[in-house]
Amino acid sequence: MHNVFLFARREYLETVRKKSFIVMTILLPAMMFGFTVLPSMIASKHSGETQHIVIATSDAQFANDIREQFSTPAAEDTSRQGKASDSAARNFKFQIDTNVSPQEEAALTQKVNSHEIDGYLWAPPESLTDRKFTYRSRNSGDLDTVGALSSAVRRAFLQQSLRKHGASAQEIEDALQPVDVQAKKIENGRVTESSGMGTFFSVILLMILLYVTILMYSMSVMRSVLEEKNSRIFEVLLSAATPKELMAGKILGAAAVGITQIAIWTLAATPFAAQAITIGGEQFHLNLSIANMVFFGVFFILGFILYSALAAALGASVNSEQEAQQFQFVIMMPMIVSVIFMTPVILQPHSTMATVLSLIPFCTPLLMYIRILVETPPVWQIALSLVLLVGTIYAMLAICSRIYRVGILMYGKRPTLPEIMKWLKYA
Amino acid sequence: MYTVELDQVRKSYDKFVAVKDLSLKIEQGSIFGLLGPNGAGKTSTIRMMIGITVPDSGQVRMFGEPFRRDHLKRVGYLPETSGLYKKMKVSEQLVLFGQLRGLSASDSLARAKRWCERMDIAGWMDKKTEELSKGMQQKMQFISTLLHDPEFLIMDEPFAGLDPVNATLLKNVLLDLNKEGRTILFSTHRMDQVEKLCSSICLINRGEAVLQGKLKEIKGRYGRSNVQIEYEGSDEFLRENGLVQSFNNYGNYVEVRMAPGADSQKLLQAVAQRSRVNKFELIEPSLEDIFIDTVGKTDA
Repeated sequence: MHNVFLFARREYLETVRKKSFIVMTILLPAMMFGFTVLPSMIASKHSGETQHIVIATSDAQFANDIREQFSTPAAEDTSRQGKASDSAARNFKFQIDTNVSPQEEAALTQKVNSHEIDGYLWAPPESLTDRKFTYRSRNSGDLDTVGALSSAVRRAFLQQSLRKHGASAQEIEDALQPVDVQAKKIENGRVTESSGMGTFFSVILLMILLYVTILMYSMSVMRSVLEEKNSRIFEVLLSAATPKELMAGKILGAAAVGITQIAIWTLAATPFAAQAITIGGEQFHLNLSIANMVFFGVFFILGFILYSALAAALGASVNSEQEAQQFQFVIMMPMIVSVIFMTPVILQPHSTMATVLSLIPFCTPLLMYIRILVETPPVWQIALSLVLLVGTIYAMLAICSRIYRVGILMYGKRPTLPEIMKWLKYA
Repeated sequence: MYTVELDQVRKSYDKFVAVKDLSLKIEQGSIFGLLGPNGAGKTSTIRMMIGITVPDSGQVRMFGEPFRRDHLKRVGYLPETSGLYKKMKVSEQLVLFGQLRGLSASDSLARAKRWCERMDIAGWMDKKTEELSKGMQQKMQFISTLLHDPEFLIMDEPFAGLDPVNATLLKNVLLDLNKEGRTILFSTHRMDQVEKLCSSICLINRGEAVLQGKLKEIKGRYGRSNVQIEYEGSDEFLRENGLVQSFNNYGNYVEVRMAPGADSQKLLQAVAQRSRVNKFELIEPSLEDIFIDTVGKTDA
């Protein structure tokens, strides 16, 4: 145990003192800030520009309704609310054109082309009957505008038909009032404050943290194994300690680095957290229960250790950094698979597929955590997943110390898979 | 009492047999030379000796008992090539190695300081290892093997990369340690370097011991059958088949191995006939000669 501690401390100090650690610690939050906050800041600046849109339809009343609905951003559901208000924040200038002749169509197209207007909603009489419209603009990717337009058109139709049935203006307005359905999780028979979005947010957070730290440190673990292998430090070390002690120390050291980094980020982010979460346009209720926070920590640490062990094993079986880089996908693969299956597991946390996947140790950290958050699985499944995870970490440690022991004594060529299998049997 | 006993140890990597049923005994307090050309199996033998690898068959005994890992607390091992963490500070690294051998941090540091002063690198203790020259790194590696005051020192090519001054410094430290009763194993292909140091040797070639025993006895067996001749003039005497078995021309002088049973006086006459003799000395064959001689025989 003493040796494990010595190796872990060495590994930890060496990594933490590196410039790359300090750079990443500062750079990564800066990048996250850049990717999430900056675009919305730029977008709101963008709102100063006015979009000039022509509504071309023979029915002037209908066109008016669309314009009116567009300027009252009443979204049908909460998830759209953020986006609708986003586009409402931009300035739109509508012009109604009751001429729907082909000549006018050509003229409008020309106007878009010459930047006189930004786009036009083409609604000839047949559109009104079969409810198919086209919005033509230079930027067909402006989904925000298209989305807002289509919901405005739908509400205009509704308004029209209500009016036909003799509803008063007040009645129409009441009917078009937005509704708000929020997801609340029932836990232990009580309704909790954690909303669906909050749950999802913490899952995404775990995913990003795991993904980023593994991506950053798996290479560093591999490199450190390679360094020992290539400089023959192992010969000195193995005359004083066992390969298992060496590996365990290395992996624990890497885990300590990961935890340190996360701790720094958490501390730095705490003052801003509340602010950052409201930026998205919606209030997340991030108040996870203490139990869930503990699970978050446990799954993060165990996941990180497991992937570090895998990286160490790879480092021991290759000869150069170039080779190691080729194999990095082997490490990222199970991680990517977990991410792919995230959505199906969130939607059906009790399905057989979700149960099986969440018990596979390489997927457990993400998928079991998701299941715990979404709909707490039976305790035995959580326990089993943890036992499997810890067992796999231990097995990886044993395997990789064997590969290390034998692998380092072979130089010059990459071992074949059968050779690695033989090493594993080697005492 | 033997520090190390190897009994019929064998190690093969795939089909290549690195060490073939090698047996040797290293007497306590002796300086032992494990000699042989590159790839003879010296390092493989050492690795089995200290448990880095396990022999396929055969037995390793250390300090009179079957090998156990905790025997390693009493062993210092200097590997062939530098095995140091490049980015670590010299002092930190030495402390780590001391701690791995069971010393406390403060004790390690005190010992490291003392040794660094003795090895003349005290001014470098706060530098990163990679800033040191190759020779200094070798000295640092050497210190790291001595920190825990081992009874048995294994030196794999210890003088490689050292200039004569530092090689002498290292040699003197080792001789002092030997005088204090420590056993030393030299492993090298530079036989001339350790010839003067070792009391016993084991010559290995292709994983097999070809010659072993006390150096004096081995040399005695070969007798003073070599002649060192400094001469001016014709070198025709070298082709006297009845007298000369083989020779080595070093430029300034020539070393002749006489044919079995040949009389040295006859050779002297043959040289004097055509050349001017400045020096004519009967000497013991060098280890290298003996090695080449023995290997030549076994190969034939």
